[in-house]
Amino acid sequence: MGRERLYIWIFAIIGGLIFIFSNLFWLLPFLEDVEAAAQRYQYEIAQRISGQAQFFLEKQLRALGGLVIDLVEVDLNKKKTETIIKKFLERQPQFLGINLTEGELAPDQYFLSPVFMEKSGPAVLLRIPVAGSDLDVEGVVSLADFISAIEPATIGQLGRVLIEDNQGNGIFGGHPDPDWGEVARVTVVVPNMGWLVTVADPVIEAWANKFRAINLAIVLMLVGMVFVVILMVNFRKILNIALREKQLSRAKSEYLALMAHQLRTPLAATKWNIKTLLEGDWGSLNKKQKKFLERSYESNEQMVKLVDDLLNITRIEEGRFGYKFVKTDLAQLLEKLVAGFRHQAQQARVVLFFRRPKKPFPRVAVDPEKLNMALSNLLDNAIRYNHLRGRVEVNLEKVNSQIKIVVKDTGVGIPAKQINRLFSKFFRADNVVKLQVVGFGLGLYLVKNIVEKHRGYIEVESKEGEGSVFTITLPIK
Amino acid sequence: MREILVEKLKREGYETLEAVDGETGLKLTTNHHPDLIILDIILPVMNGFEYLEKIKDTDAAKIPVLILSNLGQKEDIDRGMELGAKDYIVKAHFTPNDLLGKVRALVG
Repeated sequence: MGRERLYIWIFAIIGGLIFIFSNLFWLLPFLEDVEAAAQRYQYEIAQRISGQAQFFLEKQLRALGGLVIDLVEVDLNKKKTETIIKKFLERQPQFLGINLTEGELAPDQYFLSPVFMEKSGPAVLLRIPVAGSDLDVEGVVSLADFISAIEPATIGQLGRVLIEDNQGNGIFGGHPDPDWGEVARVTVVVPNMGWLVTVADPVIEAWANKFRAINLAIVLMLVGMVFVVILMVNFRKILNIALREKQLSRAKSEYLALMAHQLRTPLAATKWNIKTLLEGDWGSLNKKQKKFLERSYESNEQMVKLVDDLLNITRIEEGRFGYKFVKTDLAQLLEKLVAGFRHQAQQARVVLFFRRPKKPFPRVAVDPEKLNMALSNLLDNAIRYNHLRGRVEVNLEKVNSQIKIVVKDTGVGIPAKQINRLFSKFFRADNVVKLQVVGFGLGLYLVKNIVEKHRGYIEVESKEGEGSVFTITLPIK
Repeated sequence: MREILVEKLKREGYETLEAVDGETGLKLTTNHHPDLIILDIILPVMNGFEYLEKIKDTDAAKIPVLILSNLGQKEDIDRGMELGAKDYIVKAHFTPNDLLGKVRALVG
């Protein structure tokens, strides 16, 4: 059940996040001002168009027998530079295309020096730098100059790039207006291939982006909604599980209360009947009669305790055990408790004694009734599962800021391989089951619960056949 | 159990009146005004809590009530004490002699 719930919650969180992001984050471009966005896109568009123009120009240049040199490569790799120079000198091309990538503001001196220019035709800047690059380098022929120089002879073969401002004036060349934001339209005209890229309008681009954002948002919203629907279906399931658990818990609680009542009624009647018989209220008994009735009484008392334990465990698990902490004299509490067990100890021929601490003892905030219940369980076990003429010793000590209550017995002990399960519910050690058939194995589980509710802990040391030492440690404050 | 209790009380010299349900108990209470009421909770016709509610605003409210029941949940005990009971005894946890001790303490 727990794993199922975990999956549902992970699913819910993912679905919820997608839903939120699809509605908030992805819709942000839609809320953006178109004019502002267009401003931003201009640079992007110009770069893209410039790149496309470059691609076609390179193609045309090569077709005309020109050489295209990438200056980035030249800058970065000396060996490659030498190869290129060698190639250049061998071929002596009619046109030299210099691929000037953005940011390359100092073209290599070899290619742009008059020596090279003399040996080739005009140089062309293939990459049109955008946003105010300054290319006042000697020997560089701007694309505009280049195109006007070869026009009209080659215009039919070579492409033409036009960058216009919003008045339709060409601002074409190696020196685009630094105020690039004014440009409204970028056009690449490649005559022999038709109009390849005609219009790239930043405003249209901004709108397109806006619609792309909406598209994405719609898709994500749908995905998110699928998640949310699945979540809602499962949420009902979770609620149903919780509700069913609550109903079951209440039903269990009512059932147990009823059961306890039903069980207690005959147990109480049996107890009273036997007790009055044993006390001679209805005439005297012979020794044998008395002995057997005493055994019956003892068994009946065991059953009463079982019913009580079962009810207490139910209440603990429902969180309705109702603790009331009061400052208590533990020495007095233990003295009373031990006195209450004297009779049982005598019957079992076990020596029971309590070492009262010599020094005055601090009062500790405990729930006396619950602590009594816990210690009663320990004492009952210590006496019940002891040997004839065995011993049970109860000690109370103060160690620094802690109280230690020690119950030491010379009983049957706990098998070593079972000791780690000692405080779990319904556990009964093998050697104990042989001695006493009746028992739910709830006593020590109850003890541990009570001790832990007091912010304390319980430890056990035991050797099978020799005895056990239970130590309850409680904080003073 | 009632039989045992009545017998024990008589032997101690107390006079007893018995009722098998809450309603009869209420009639006996108003007619005889006893010194002590020993009350069970699970009763036919009118249960112990209802009985306590009924006598709350009458002269009988002054009579000490000792609840003797098989119900032992904390809620039941709290409710009984809130309704004015002097003591609450879970039958399976006490012997008849323990109960006699409680009776002596309440009525002498």
